[in-house]
Amino acid sequence: MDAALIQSIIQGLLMGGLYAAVGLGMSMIFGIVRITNLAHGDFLILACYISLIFMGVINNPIVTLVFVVPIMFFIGFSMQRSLLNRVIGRGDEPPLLITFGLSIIVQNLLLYFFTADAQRLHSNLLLESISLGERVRIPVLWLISCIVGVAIILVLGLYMKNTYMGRAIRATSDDTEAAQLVGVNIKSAYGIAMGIAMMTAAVSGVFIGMVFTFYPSTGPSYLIIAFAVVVIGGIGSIYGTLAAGLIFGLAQVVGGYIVGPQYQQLIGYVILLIMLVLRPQGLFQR
Amino acid sequence: MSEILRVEGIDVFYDDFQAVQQASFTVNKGEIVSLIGTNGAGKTTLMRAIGGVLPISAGKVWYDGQDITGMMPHKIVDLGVSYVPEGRHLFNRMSVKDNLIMGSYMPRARKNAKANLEKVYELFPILKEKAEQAAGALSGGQQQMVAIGRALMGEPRVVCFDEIALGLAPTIIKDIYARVRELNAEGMTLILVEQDVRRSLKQSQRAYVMLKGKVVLEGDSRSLTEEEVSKAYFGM
Ligand SMILES: Nc1ncnc2c1ncn2[C@@H]1O[C@H](COP(=O)(O)OP(=O)(O)OP(=O)(O)O)[C@@H](O)[C@H]1O
Ligand SMILES: [Mg+2]
Repeated sequence: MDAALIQSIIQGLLMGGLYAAVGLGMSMIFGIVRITNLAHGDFLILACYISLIFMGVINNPIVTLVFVVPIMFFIGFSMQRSLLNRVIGRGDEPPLLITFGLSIIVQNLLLYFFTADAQRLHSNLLLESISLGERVRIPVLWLISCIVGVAIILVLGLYMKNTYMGRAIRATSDDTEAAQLVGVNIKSAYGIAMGIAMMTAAVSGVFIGMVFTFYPSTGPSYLIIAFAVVVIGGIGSIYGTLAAGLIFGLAQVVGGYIVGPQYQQLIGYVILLIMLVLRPQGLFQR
Repeated sequence: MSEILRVEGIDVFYDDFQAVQQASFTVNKGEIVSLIGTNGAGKTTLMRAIGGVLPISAGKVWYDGQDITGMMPHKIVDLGVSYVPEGRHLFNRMSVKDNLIMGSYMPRARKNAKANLEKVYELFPILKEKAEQAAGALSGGQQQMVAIGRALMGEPRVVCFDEIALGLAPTIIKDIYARVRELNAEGMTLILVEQDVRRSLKQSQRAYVMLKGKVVLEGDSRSLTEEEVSKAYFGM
């Protein structure tokens, strides 16, 4: 195998770890609260801008997470409690409309406050890489993003399995009435689930903002990635999400290497379409 | 004997359809009360309304001297009124053990979760063997045991069992009822929702009969005759 192919396989997998984290919050809300959060990508970008504000004082995007993550939790929790919980149980359309509206609002607020200029969360890590043999290099920032992406998936998996709140969230998605009957306040369980989803969006968003440039209107392209990860991984399966992210990242980058890098995004959409036609329940769902 | 639960003339609707009309009954501390009625009489609707899962349009529910009408379901369980739903409603994708642990979700029950889990395993030893299996994969009888165990994990004072015998083999029904009597002997107040007239009269101290959304007969289980109950039951 030639070095360039190996290089793109490595980059694809590293990208995939981050993609999995991008899709995680979307998958969780889809599976548990049964809402398609059309604003997921915009919240990811919102996290980038919140990080940008703190960069004024801290100058290290990773350290800004200390503030960005709790802020995003609070935004998610309040949004669920004040808006989305009101329309739960009234069919699929009302929450869809609300999240669509939120997407537009977030994009326009960002445009108003930050202008349409391209931004990036500057990090010294961006230029560093580890060389493996002569022509294969691992970009350090991509490696860290991937590790962080995988780590949040594992931590969330443990949280859902071993804590009372994690079990309550799973129980609510299994049988809402039964969850209430054992004492779960389902509205607050939904609020916390949305808060956690936003925490994952915060972390993956900040890493995205370090690796790529972003604008107020970049959100929807990450929504599509998140959507692809959810479709490939199957709804609500945490580890399915991880595998799906890796597969999608790999297919996009390696596909781009074979057909030409300008087709990378297109390849992603084609994979998504093929999946929707052939296996809409996801690769990992029985 | 002191009263623990009192339902006063409640109405419950599904949209325009009135499923419960002016239903009243009381339950005393330590009693087993049965609620009998045919398919569609409104028993489940009445119980879900008491549990706060369905809205009550008129009337009141009192528990231990407190008005609990219109309270959120999770608050009502926390006060000690537990409902074991018809059709079990387990968390099918979760393990048997996680289902039981979910029963101790309320902060006041968490402290004793370990000890209560052992008690449930003592009551239904088969559940200990199946602890790690998905609840949805169990047989009907075992699922019913999980549903009962899950309610017990919340340390309730009053438990309503909605058709626990439904679809189970006679030997298993006998076994489950033996466990139910044990719980009552330990002081738990029980409501048994049943379709089987003979069984419910045998298992309870007092009985109420429902027909088309109304409570049409009440009395001591021993002094009520089967004919009398059957007549009320079928509305003859
Ligand atoms: N979710 C619902 N929506 C509309 N109507 C309902 C609903 N659930 C029950 N009903 C109706 O309400 C009435 C009472 O039903 P309910 O389930 O309370 O009866 P039940 O006495 O528990 O019967 P069973 O012995 O079959 O469990 C029935 O006519 C039923 O068709
Ligand atoms: Mg019923």
